[in-house]
Amino acid sequence: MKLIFKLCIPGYYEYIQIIKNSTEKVLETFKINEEELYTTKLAVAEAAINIIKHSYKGEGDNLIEYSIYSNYKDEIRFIFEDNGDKIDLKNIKSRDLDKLDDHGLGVYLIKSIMDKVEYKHVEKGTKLSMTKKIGVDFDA
Amino acid sequence: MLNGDIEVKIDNDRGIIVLGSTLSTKDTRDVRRTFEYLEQNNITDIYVNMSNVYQVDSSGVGILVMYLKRVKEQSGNLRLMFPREEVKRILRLVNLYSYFEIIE
Repeated sequence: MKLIFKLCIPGYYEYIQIIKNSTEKVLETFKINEEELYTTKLAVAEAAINIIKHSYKGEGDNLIEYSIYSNYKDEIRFIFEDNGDKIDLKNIKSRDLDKLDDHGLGVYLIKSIMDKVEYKHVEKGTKLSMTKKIGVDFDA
Repeated sequence: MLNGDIEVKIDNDRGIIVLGSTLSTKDTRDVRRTFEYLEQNNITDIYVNMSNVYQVDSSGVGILVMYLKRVKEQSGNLRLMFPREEVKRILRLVNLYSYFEIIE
């Protein structure tokens, strides 16, 4: 995987638009359809929201590192790293499909959009890696 | 009554909410206040006009789901009016589209 893009923003909701816009710019270089572009932007925004909400317990100057990698073949990987509280990985749950439930919607959304989602603890906080399969035909 | 970009009125025991352009994490406090206002007035028949909403995230959907649950427990309903495709898409993605009565 090659690094395509890297960004560091403070943990405020208003900066999430920068993440969405830069993701869009990067994905424009790949042949990705409008639906995939829209949903991918949703997923990366949800990931950033979850960091602010759960790792940082609210908005503040704590930094969110965001990077995009690709193998320039069939995968794009979106990586978020924070230096907040190490969240209990067992507590990261998707919504219960059998219930009308407002909990875990963000995680469910991410998992339904991305092909592979991995959380792990790193030295300074938590790392989220989201991989999306793409068509092999791209401009990059 | 106005809560930021949100309008709410009570008309014949029906609560009518008109949301602003976004329904996301930063809007949840105002949206919550709006629903609380209706709760305080014992309104459980709610129409949410979403025609202005072009950006929504899981927190925004979460608020709608939470209040849909609450009013249903009291034999009420929360209907979504004129949602744009962006809103419908996210409801489908989280498998919640069918829980809402949608007015086109």
